[in-house]
Amino acid sequence: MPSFAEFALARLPQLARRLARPDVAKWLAAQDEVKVDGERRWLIWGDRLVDEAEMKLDWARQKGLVDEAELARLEREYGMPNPDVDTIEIEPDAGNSKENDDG
Amino acid sequence: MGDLFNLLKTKLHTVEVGGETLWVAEGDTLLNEEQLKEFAETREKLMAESDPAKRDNVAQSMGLARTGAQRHSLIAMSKNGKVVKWKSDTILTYRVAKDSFGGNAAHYKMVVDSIVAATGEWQKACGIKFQYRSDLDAKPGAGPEGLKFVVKETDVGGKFIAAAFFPSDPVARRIINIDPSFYTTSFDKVGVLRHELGHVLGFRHEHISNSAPSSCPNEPLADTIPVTPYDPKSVMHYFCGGHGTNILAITDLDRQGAQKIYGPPKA
Repeated sequence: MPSFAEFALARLPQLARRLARPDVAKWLAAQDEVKVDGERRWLIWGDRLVDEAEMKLDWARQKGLVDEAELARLEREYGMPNPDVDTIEIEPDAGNSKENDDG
Repeated sequence: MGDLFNLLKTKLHTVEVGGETLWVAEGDTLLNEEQLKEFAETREKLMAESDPAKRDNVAQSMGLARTGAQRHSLIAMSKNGKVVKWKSDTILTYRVAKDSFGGNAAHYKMVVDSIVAATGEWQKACGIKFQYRSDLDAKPGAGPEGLKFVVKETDVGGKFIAAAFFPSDPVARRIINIDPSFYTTSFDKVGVLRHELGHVLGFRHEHISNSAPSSCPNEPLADTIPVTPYDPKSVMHYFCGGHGTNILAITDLDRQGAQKIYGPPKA
């Protein structure tokens, strides 16, 4: 199964074309690549592994090149969040949390 | 233009490369002074954006201070302003892929003992349940095999001691990878796994808080929610800037933060 980023870039050809440019390839080549089970992965934050599409999509988001609403729509299409995952609101002061209906 | 440029010049970390001072923007982008000017100009335009959430994202991406309420931690990952967590009834089943240890029974046992101890401590800290399925350890393959996650050895030449995943990651990527440097690290081995399991529960690094020393590694703060006040001894804090510990214990504040999200420990 493709990662969400792979799925999203396959549906955002204009963005995918932008991310195929040499400046992005140069930036990616300077990042911390590792081989894990024969797969290319990049190490971020010291202990997190992500794939090429995730690296590029994050780069694009930080540069403001991504339509976040479109990305949210694609997340739903992809099936995020995972069925065993929930989202909750934190009560800021009371220290309690409540389950979210739409999670 | 100018104010932001000057602010960034003083706030962002700098590195010396080939005798030139470069500013570290967005955690991992090196800019010279001219590039920093362009960066600031672009960001000033974005900061003029009327949507406060977008403004905040831009500020976070630059590594700048956020609003007072957001200068705290334990830090949880979030989506659309809500904490991302495992569902309440989830049992985090896992196995330790025996094949991945290349027949080294001592290393396999060390990892099993460490992960069992670490999961046990998180269970005592908050309302989360783990279940070790040792009966599936010998199953071929490196994936979770129907469980929530797998722990396995992966030799990356010491680039990390261990690497984990977040609840939002796809099932196939729910792996805790252990590099052989784990066996000789001066860090507490159970502590390393307490830290990685913190990520599994959805917690980000404590040292990305704006209250942490500026010499600590930077990460984008987008999609995070601070849960407790900054805790320099947090299990999620790297050993940096004179803070963090090589024990990586779950502190009282970690416990409080985890219970805000997962509730009190289950019986």
